[in-house]
Amino acid sequence: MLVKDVMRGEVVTVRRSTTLKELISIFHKYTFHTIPVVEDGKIVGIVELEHLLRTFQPHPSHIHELLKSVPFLEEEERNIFELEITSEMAMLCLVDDIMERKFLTIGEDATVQEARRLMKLHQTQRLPVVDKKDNLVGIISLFDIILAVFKEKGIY
Amino acid sequence: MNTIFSLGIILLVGLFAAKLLHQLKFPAVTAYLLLGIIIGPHLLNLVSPGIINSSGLISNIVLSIIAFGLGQNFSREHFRKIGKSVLTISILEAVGAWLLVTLALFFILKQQLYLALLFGSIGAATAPAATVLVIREYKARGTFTNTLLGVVALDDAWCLIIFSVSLAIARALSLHLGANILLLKVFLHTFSQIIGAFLLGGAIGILLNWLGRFVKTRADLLIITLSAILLTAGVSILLDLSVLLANMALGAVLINLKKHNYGFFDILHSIDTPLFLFFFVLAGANLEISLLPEIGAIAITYFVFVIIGKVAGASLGAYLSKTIPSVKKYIGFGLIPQAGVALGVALIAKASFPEVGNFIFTTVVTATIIFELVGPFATRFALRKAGEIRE
Repeated sequence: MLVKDVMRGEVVTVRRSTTLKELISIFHKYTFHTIPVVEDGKIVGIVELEHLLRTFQPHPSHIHELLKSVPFLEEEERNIFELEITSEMAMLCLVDDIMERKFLTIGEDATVQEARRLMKLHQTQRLPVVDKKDNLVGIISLFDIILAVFKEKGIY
Repeated sequence: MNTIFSLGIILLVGLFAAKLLHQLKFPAVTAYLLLGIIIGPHLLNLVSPGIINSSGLISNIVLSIIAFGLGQNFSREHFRKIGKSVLTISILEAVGAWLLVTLALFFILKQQLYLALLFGSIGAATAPAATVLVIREYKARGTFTNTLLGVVALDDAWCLIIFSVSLAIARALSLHLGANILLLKVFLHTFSQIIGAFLLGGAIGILLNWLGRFVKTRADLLIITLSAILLTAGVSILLDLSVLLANMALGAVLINLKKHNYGFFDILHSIDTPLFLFFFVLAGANLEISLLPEIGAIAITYFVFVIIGKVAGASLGAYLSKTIPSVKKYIGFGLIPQAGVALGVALIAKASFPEVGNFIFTTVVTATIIFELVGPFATRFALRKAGEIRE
């Protein structure tokens, strides 16, 4: 069974320039919480629910990513209930400021077993699916895989 | 004191020491180091000789893991994002401290060239943890702060490269000590060590990338990553290559082969904290207190020229990259703290040159303590002058 047989072709995406307010609306509207960030058909990042917490980070995302490789750096204990944040952030904060630039994708011709392996290894439940030219063509979730297995066994 | 009891004490007391010093705004590294000095053989003597004797081994393993992690900075995407000014400033401040300390020890204090080179290369290090703590404490934000964070994040990688090259030269120089130093021999020895390290790291990186497709669980991922790092270090030692450069090349090749390979780096975070704790406590325990009276002139020269080298090098980098005036004037003062990587490479120098190793290490530990005390004030001064501290 291949990824393209199981994946969903319709994907909700955002752009780098999507505002925080628009992003919150999307998270509010849909039950899934992994959204690819797409520019010219290609994925440039992903946003997940936990990345909303990055709204409170004081420095740009790429600086935080750079600091991740620094040894002996202690994690900052931030109490999000006590941070000063103004309402203008809804329009000023963009997806580009908070998205994760390290992300996984899977090819549409890969097997479902490979998709499951990657999900287990990287502790994620949704993978963006790309074609040979790296264009986003769909998304596959753990539920899609389980559903396909259930269908195959006649359970559903 | 048996070794296992010693290990338990180090981990437990280390945790509490870090929490305690965190209240006083000191990074955990400083807490571990001071704890090591207190429980070391010269004061409370709670560390077993077995652990002390394995310091070289432990520092090689821990620094191999660090070098591997820093290798991920060398991706095309990373360089594109960090920008010209951060790159130029970080290279020149590290090279500035290296050159000035080396020249000062060689020409002013008349030390042997290999010793001056080793001190110079250790001087290239900064302490991102201490700088970040000050930035967080004062909630500093802005272009200056972002540039400073980018520079300290990259500096450790430059320091390891500079140290590896200097160590190779120092080894070649010390091999030919007493005889007429043949420059060509020194150059060939150094060059072969560096190129060999890159080839070895690259080859194991390609192998690890291929093996990655068969990994099914996170436990397997951790084991295969650790084994690749240790194999790289082990073969490097066997072939007399640079352990640090080989592991950095392993990380760099891996991240450039496939973007998905970040999993190899992230998995190490599950084990690195206790390893680092142990490593720094051990560094403190290695301090030879009896040598303190002898290090005066070298320690002062090292301390002064590290600061001059960093401030001058960073400012030159800022001018060359045509950045904002506050960065040109003050960025060097934000780079004064020095701790983790400096201690690590000093431990390697200690193991590589037993005859002067204790002297180098004691000087660097003493300077580290002073840097950790003075450094945060200098960083605060730079942030305030740049107008990025919210009063």
